[in-house]
Amino acid sequence: MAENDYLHRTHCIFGWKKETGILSWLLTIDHKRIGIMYFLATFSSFLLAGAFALAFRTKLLWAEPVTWMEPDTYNRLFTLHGAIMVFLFIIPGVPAALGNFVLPIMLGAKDVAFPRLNLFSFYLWLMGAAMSVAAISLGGLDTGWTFYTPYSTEGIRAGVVWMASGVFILGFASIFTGLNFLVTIHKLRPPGMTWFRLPLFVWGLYATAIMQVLATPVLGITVALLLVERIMGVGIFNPELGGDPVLFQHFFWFYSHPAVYIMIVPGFGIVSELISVFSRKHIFGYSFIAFSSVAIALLSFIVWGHHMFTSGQSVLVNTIFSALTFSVAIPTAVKVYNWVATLYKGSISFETPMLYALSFLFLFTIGGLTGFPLATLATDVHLHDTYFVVAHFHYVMMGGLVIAMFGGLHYWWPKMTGRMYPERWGQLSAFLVFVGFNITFFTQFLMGSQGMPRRYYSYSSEFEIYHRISTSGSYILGLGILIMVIYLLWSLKNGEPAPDNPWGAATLEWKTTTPPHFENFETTPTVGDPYDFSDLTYDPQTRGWVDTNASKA
Amino acid sequence: MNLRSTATAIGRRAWHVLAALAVTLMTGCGNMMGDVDGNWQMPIQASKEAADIDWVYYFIFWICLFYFVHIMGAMGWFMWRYRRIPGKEVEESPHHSLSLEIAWSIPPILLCVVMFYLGFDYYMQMSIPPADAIKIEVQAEKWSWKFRYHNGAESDELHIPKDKPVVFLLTSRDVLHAFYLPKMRVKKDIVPGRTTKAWTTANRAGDYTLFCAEYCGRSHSMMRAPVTVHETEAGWLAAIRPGRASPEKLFRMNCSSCHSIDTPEILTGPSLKGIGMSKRQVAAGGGAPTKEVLADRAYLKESILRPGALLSRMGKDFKDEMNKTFAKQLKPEQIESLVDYLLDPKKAMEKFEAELKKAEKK
Ligand code: HEC
Ligand SMILES: [Cu+2]
Ligand SMILES: [Cu+2]
Repeated sequence: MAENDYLHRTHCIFGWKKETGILSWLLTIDHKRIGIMYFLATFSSFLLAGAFALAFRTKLLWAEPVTWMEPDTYNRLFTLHGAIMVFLFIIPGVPAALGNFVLPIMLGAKDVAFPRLNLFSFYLWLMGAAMSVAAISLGGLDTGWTFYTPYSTEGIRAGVVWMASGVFILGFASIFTGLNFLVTIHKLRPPGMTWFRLPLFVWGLYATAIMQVLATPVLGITVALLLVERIMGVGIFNPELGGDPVLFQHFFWFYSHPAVYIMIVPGFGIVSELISVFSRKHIFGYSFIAFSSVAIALLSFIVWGHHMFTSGQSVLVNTIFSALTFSVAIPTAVKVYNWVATLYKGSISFETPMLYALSFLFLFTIGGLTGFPLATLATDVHLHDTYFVVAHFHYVMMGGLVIAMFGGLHYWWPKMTGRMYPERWGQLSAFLVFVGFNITFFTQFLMGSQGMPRRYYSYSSEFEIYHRISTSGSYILGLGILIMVIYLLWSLKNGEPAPDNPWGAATLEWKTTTPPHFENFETTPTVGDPYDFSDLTYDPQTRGWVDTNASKA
Repeated sequence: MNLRSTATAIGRRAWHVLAALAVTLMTGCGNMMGDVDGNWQMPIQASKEAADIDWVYYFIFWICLFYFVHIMGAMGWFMWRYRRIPGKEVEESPHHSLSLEIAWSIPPILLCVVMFYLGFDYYMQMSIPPADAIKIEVQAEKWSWKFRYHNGAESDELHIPKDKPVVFLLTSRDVLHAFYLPKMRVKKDIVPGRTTKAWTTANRAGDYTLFCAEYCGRSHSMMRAPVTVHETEAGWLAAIRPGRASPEKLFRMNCSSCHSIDTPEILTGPSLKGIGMSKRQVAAGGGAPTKEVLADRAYLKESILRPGALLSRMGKDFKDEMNKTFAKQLKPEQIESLVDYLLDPKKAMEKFEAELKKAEKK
C-alpha cells in the first residue's frame, strides 16, 4: 500500500507509463512532483542569490575600495542578488512550489485544473531563468534589479532586452500557475467545500493568482516597447531619441508593485494556517483575513507611483499616490490584529513552524510600520534611495515572505518527504535566522535615516561601524540557513518517519496518508471547518493526531 | 466580557511600557521631535526645512512605536500566558467579533489621514521655491558634478550662502542621477532631457557633502561633491568669484573621473601620467596589431575633440567610452590649457600662475 504514494507512482504526460526514475519526474503531470521540482529550482536560486549577498556584504566591511572586488563586480553582484531573489525565487517561490504541492490537496481535489499546463509552466520558468541569468552574467548587466533607463539601454548594455524578455517568460510561467489556481479553486472544489471553508492559504493563493494574471501582461508591453525602441529607433524611454526615462519607471512599477504583493500575500496565507494550528485555536476573524488579502491584491494596482516621489513626477500625482498608499495600511493592520487575537486563550506550542510564524509577526510588523515614513511625502524625500528603503523592503520581503515560507516548508516537510526534520536543530536555526536577520537589517534603518545612499560600493567612513554590524549579522543569518539546509537534507534519509498528521491540523492535506497517495486521496475526505480542532487527539503511539470522530464511525 | 477585560489590562500595561520608553528616550536623546545636532535616527539639521521634516518623521515614529509596542506586547504576553501545558485544554473563546474588528480598524484610518496630511502639507512647502531665490545650475554626469553660478563662474564645488533660499536647476548629460543633501533633507532625481528643481535654505555654516542617490554605474558611489555653506553673503561671493580656472581644476572637473594623472592606475580611461611627448599604442583598425604614435600637441587635442578616432591600447583594450566630444563643453582656450597641462603639468601650472599675477597687476 505504501507503494501507492506519489514518490513511487505518478501520471506522466502523454500517458507514459513511468513511475520512478528521473524521467518520471521530468515528465510528470502530478502537481505534487511539479511542486517539488519547482521548490528545488527556486530554492537553489535563493541560495545562490544569498551567496551573492554575502559576497558584497563582505566588501562593505570596509568603507574604502578594496583590491579584491572591483566596483563593477560589486554592481553586478547586487544586480544578480536582487534580480534572482525577486524574479526567480520570491515571486514563484510560494505559489509555484508550496502552493502547487498543497493547494489541490487542501481543496480535496485530485490535481490542478490543467496538469499539463502546470508542467509547461515549470519549463517556461527554467527557460526564463536561464535567459535572465545569462543576460546578467554574459551581458555584464549592472543596472540593479530595477533596470532603469537610460542607463540600462546604453549602447553596450543590450542585455536589458534579453533580461526583460527572460523576466517576461518567467512572468508567463507565473500567469499559467495563477490561471491554473483560479480555475482549480473555482471548479474543482468537492461537495461541501464552500468558499468559506477554504483554508486561508487557499485564499492567499487566490488573491495572488488574480494579481499574477492581471499584472504580468504589462511586463510584456514593456518588453515590446523596449524592442521597438532598440530595433526601430522610435524614442520611447531614451531621451536622446525624444523618449522619457520616467515612463519606464511607470511601466516597471506598474508591474513590480503588484509583484511585491504577489510575493507577500501567499505568506499571509501560510502564517494564518500556522498560527491557528499551533495555538490549537480557530483562526480569529476568518473572513476579515480572507477579504483583506483580496483587498490588498486590488489596491496593489493603484499605488505604484509611491516608488517615484522624487522622480520629477508632478506634485498632484505624488499626492494621489501617497494617499492611495496609506489605504493599504488598513487591511494590513486588520490582518496583524487578527493573528495576534488568534493566540488569545490558545494552547501555544513552539515547534519550528510556529517560531517562524511568530518571527514573521515581529518582522512584518516592523516592515509594515516603517512603510509609513516612506508613504508620507515629506519624509520619503529624505529616505528614498537610502538604506532605510533597503531595510524596509527586506523586513517585508525576507522578514515577511521568506520567513513565512520557511515556516511553511517545515510545516509541510513531513507531508512532502514522509520524514520529520530534527526539531531541536530546526528551533536553533530559526533562532539564528531571527537574530541574524535583525542585526543585519535593523542597522540599515539607522544608517539609512542618517543618509547612507543605497547601491554604494564605497562610502563615508562614519557608516563603517553600521556596515560592520550589518555584515556580521548577515553571517549569522547565513549560518542559520546553512544549518537548515544541512538538517533538511539529513532528514531525508535519517529523519523519523512522519505520521499522517504530526501537528494536529484540520485541513484536508493532513487527512490523507503521508506522503500523499499519488492521486491525493484514497477515499474522499469529509470536508469540515478547516480550523476546528476539537475532534483531534494526540496519539503517542504514532506520534500524530487522530480524528476521534472518524475512528468512531 | 472576558476578552474585553484582558484587552484593557494589556492596554494599561502597554501604556506603562510606552511611557517609560518615552521618558528614557526624551532624557537620553534630547528632544523627542528631532534635534538640531542630529541624534541616533537623523543627521544634523542644516536647513530650515530639516526641522519640519524631522518633526513629521518623529510624529510618525512615535505612532509606529506605540503600535509596535502594543502589538508585540500582546503577542509576547499571549505566548507566555497561553503556552501549551500538557493536560490543559484550550479555553473557550470567540473567534470573530465585528465590534473588535471595527475598533482596531478605526484608529489606523484616522492616523493615516493625519500622517498623509502632514506629509502632504510639508511637501507642498518644499515644492514651491520663493521667487527671489538664488539660482544655481547643477549639471550631473557620470561621475561628476558641475555648478554654474549667476555670475557665470563654474566650479566642481558647491558654495551656498546661509539663510538664503537657493534653487538648484538640475540637468543630466547622460543617465539618471539624484541630487541628495542628507543634512538639508533634500533629494531630487536628475532626468536627462529635462530640468528638475530642488531648493533649500541652509541655516548652518559649515562643510557638507553632496551625494548622487540614483544608481548610475561604476563610480556612482564616488559621485560626491564638497558643499560649503558660507556664514555671510560676502564670503559666499568671494568663493565663487569668476576667474579663469587653473588647468589642474579643469582636469579635475572634466577628466579625472576617468583618467588619473599622478598615478599609473587605469580607471575608465588610461592613465595620463607622463603622457606628454611619450610614445602611445593605439588601435590600428582592421584587425592589424596596434601602432605607435607620438603624444604631441596635435594628438592630445585630437583625443579631446574627437575621442574614439584613435583608440588607446595603453595597458588595456579601451572601448570608445569617452564618447562625447568636449568641443561643446570647453572653450578653445580651456582646451589649449588642458593640452599644456597634459604635456607638462608642472610647467602648465607655473605658466597659469604667472599669467594670473600679470592680470592682477593690471
Ligand atoms: C567618460 C570617461 C572619460 C572622460 C570624462 C575623459 N576621458 Fe579621455 N579617454 C577615455 C577613454 C575610455 C579613453 C581610451 C579610448 C580612446 O582613446 O578614445 C580615453 C583616451 C584619452 C586620451 C588618449 C590616451 C592615450 O593613451 O593615448 C587622452 C589624451 C584623453 N583621453 C584626454 C582626456 C581629457 C583631457 C579629458 C578631459 C577634458 C578626458 N580625456 C575625459 C575616457 C574618458
Ligand atoms: Cu510599491
Ligand atoms: Cu549615481
